[in-house]
Amino acid sequence: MPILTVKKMQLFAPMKKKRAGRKQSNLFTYVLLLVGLIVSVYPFYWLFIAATLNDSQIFQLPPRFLPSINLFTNITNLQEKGPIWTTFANSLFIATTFTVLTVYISALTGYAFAKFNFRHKELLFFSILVTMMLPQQVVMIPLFKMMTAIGWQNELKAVIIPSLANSFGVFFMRQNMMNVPIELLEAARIDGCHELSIFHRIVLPTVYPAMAALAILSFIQQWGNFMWPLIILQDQSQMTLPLFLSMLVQPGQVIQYGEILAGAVIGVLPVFLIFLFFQKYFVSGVYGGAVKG
Amino acid sequence: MKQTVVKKITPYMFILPFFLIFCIFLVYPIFESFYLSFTAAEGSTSSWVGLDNFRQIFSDALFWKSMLNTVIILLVQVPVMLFLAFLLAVAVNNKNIKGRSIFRLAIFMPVLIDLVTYSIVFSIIFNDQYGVLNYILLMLHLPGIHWIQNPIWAKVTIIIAITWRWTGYNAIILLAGLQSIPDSIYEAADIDGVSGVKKFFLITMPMLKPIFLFCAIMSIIGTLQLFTEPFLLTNGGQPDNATETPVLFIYQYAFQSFHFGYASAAAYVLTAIVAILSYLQICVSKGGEI
Amino acid sequence: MFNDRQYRKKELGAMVLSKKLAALLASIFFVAVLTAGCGGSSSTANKSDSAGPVTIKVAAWNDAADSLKAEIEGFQKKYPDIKVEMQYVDNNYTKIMPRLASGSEVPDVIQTQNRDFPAFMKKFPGEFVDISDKVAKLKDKFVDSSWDPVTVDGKVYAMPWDLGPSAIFYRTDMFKEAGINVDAIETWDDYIAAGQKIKEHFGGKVAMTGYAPDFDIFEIGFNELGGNYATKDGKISLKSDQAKQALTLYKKLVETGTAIDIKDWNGRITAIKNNKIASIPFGVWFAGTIANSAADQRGKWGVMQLPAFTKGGNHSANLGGSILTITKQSKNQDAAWKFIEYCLATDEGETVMLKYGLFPSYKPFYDNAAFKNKDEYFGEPLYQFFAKQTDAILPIHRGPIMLDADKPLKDMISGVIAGRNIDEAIDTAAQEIAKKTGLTVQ
Repeated sequence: MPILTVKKMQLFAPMKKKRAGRKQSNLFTYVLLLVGLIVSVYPFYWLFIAATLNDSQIFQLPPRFLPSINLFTNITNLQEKGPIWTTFANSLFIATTFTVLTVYISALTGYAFAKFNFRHKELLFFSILVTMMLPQQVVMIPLFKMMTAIGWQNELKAVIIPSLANSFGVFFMRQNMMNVPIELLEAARIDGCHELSIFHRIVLPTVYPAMAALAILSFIQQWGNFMWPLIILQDQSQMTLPLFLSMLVQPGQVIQYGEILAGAVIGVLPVFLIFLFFQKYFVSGVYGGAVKG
Repeated sequence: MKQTVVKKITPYMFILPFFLIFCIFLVYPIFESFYLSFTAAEGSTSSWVGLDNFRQIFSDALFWKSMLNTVIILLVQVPVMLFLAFLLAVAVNNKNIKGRSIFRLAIFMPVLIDLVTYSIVFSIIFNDQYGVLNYILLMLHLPGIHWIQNPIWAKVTIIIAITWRWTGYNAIILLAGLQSIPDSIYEAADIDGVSGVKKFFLITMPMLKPIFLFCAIMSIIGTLQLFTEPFLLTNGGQPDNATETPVLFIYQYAFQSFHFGYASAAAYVLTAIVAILSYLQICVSKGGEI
Repeated sequence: MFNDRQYRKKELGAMVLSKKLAALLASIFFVAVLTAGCGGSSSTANKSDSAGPVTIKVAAWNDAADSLKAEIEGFQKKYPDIKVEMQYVDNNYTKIMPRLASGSEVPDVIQTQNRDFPAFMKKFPGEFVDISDKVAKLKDKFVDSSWDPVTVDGKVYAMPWDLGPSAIFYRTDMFKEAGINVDAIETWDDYIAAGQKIKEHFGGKVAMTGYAPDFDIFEIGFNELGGNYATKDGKISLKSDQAKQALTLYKKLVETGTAIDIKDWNGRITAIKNNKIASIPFGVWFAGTIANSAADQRGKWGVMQLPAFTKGGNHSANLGGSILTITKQSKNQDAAWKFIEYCLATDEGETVMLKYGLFPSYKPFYDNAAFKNKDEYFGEPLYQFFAKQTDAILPIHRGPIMLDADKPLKDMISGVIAGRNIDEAIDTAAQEIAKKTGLTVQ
């Protein structure tokens, strides 16, 4: 889209700046943001409070807004329901390994699509895009058959490795790498640099923000991944935390909400921390994936 | 010579790890499920039926109702969400606002929620008798709404839930876009005395268009694949299938009644539709970029 | 920017190092991932049936799985050579189904809901072991109606586990306050009238009961009237007078405000905790849930029999219940049977079951002392009360339709609540079920 040139802007007649209006618009902005904050944060606030209550207090009306002292009890009781910390460690391992691997692999692949020309490039890229549109439920049964055939059932790697066929990651990194100046790469090649070095020393540093963004999104997605781990992981000791919690909330049994929500708090913390850690890179990274050139 | 060979195989080496995993763990199961779509696979039984599944899908009232539901939800939810996201992005971008990073964190948070809390909290909020929403309505002397029982309001519930979950995400993307518009353009406009409103329409909006497009496309694909919200919040497509979605349909056939053949066929019909719609979108927005 | 020669020279030097580093990191990660979970994975090998100890795997869900786990100790004393490994699965079959479909990683024994079992038989032909000869001597020791779902073509393929004789759990204090005489409630119309009293007395804050868009209340009515989903020769018989009556009752309960929308299982518990509903028509297995969810309401709950459709009509219905079945992949079918027999057809086994609120189909146990105990929460001999109901429960023949019928039935209910014509809704449901199962409508 054409950017307004300075010349064009000179055509506009000067208008009086509204200084008083600024204060008003600031107030409106604050209100909007405050409402946004309350609406966005309320469920989390509810969660943190509920995790500290005992069951009879959680659903009482009018709802409680202040925490109570049951957090420790809830966690203790939760520990009796199953290996909660093991599932937490599993989740952490799966999400972290997945994130590191998928960011690296997506970067490798996206780089090739962004900065190289090779035969069948368009076809291959198109095949990646199309798979993004297929609902994942449909491949679960064939994938399960495959996993049992190669003996990976109940293994954490059965959750990690198939997920690495991450089309979104490739698409995302490719978009971000379109901006890397080709001259840079050419110069390094002339100097005799090995391709992989160019990739590591020149390309990656340019797209750190995008990698951070993808890291956050990948971690969140894998942490909340639910259906496939349910199918492929058998023992409680292999399960992920969100999966383990959801098994406790099934209809037909007595549900101890306080414990489960305490578990949910434990589950929410890592994603929260990951976001806090990476957020300064996140903003510019996601944008880079949206616009080419 | 060696240099050229190396140059030629380099890209293939780069894409090799991905494509290895892609072919083994995604393409192969896709082929198998594609094969299944031509069979009447049910449980552990199977028999070849050719195009019968696809013929049935095309005359399956529930499937097309679910598509219609999704399109209706999409037509309302995506514009509303993008509009809100834009407002929030502009608000957080405002240099005069203190505590912007706190607001930024807050509006992104909904993306991080776990499914257990999500379904419990939203059930509580939208509850007929004692939900927060009906409580507020009561205070305003308005009749309570049967959120989950009424076919129309159930769709509204879904729209509200999706909007809650994804507005912040899109707001952050738009925020990044806003922040990359150079200040110099705005300053030049100020010098010429361009009003705030005109600045908005003549500078901000056009420069934001490519990102808007990205958000729109991702949201549309995401909404067409809607599953979680109806599954968790409206009892799996109720009431009277007003919130039934294609992916829910597929899930129900595959995992509740074990008709893998039919479910696979439905999945491929859906994929084809999504692909066509995405392609059309990109064509239409050729003025923008992808 | 990067045109600086000095910078590039540094780059060249660091290149080799970085290449090695990258390769090292990559290989570490790949190795880590490939060996991940190796330590934690459990052995999946099934020891063979010959001499020596064998291990059987049993898959069940929630409390049922807990109860089986609790049985292991007693079982081991009797059969020290048979080890039992519990596998916790979800009650939507999401976990167990891929295993049955692919034929790999199938446990020796699995649990299904009794009503779903014929459908499992149809969808996984030959999967389940014929145990007709093993149960021959037990036939008359189990509630008659419990054999229907596990018998196909005259042969028995699964063992009835628990039963769900139903009644109405009600708040004695609320009923008293509103001046309702429980003994006077004989028909559903009486129940609805009492519901009005409750509504008036509590100013709309309390409803008689709640409904969720499942078809439990429909089934209670349908079963009371002796309805059947399918005929013996496999035709769908949903389009029947009984279905119409049951559905009309459902609609009436909603329209008169006797039943409010409580969305789902969690919503029901919430409503109980918050004193929003005064009664719940449900199976015996719900007693434990009430006791645990509303500990502070102890002593305020009682049970009464289900209302009938007409004066002097049937007051009994069954809702829910599970079965245990042996899979053909089991290499230890004898051992598996021994476990099932121990848990479900002995007094010791059933004692443990009762502790978990699982009501036995095994009749001899009804004479057990445990049945005479006053339930602490409800203040009366709860199980004895429900045992009385079981004889009058009519068998309900479902045929292999339930997994496919789940959604059409739910749609039927929610359609009627949303205003659809009852006959039309029943018809549509029957057609949908026919389409999905390939059976014809009667």
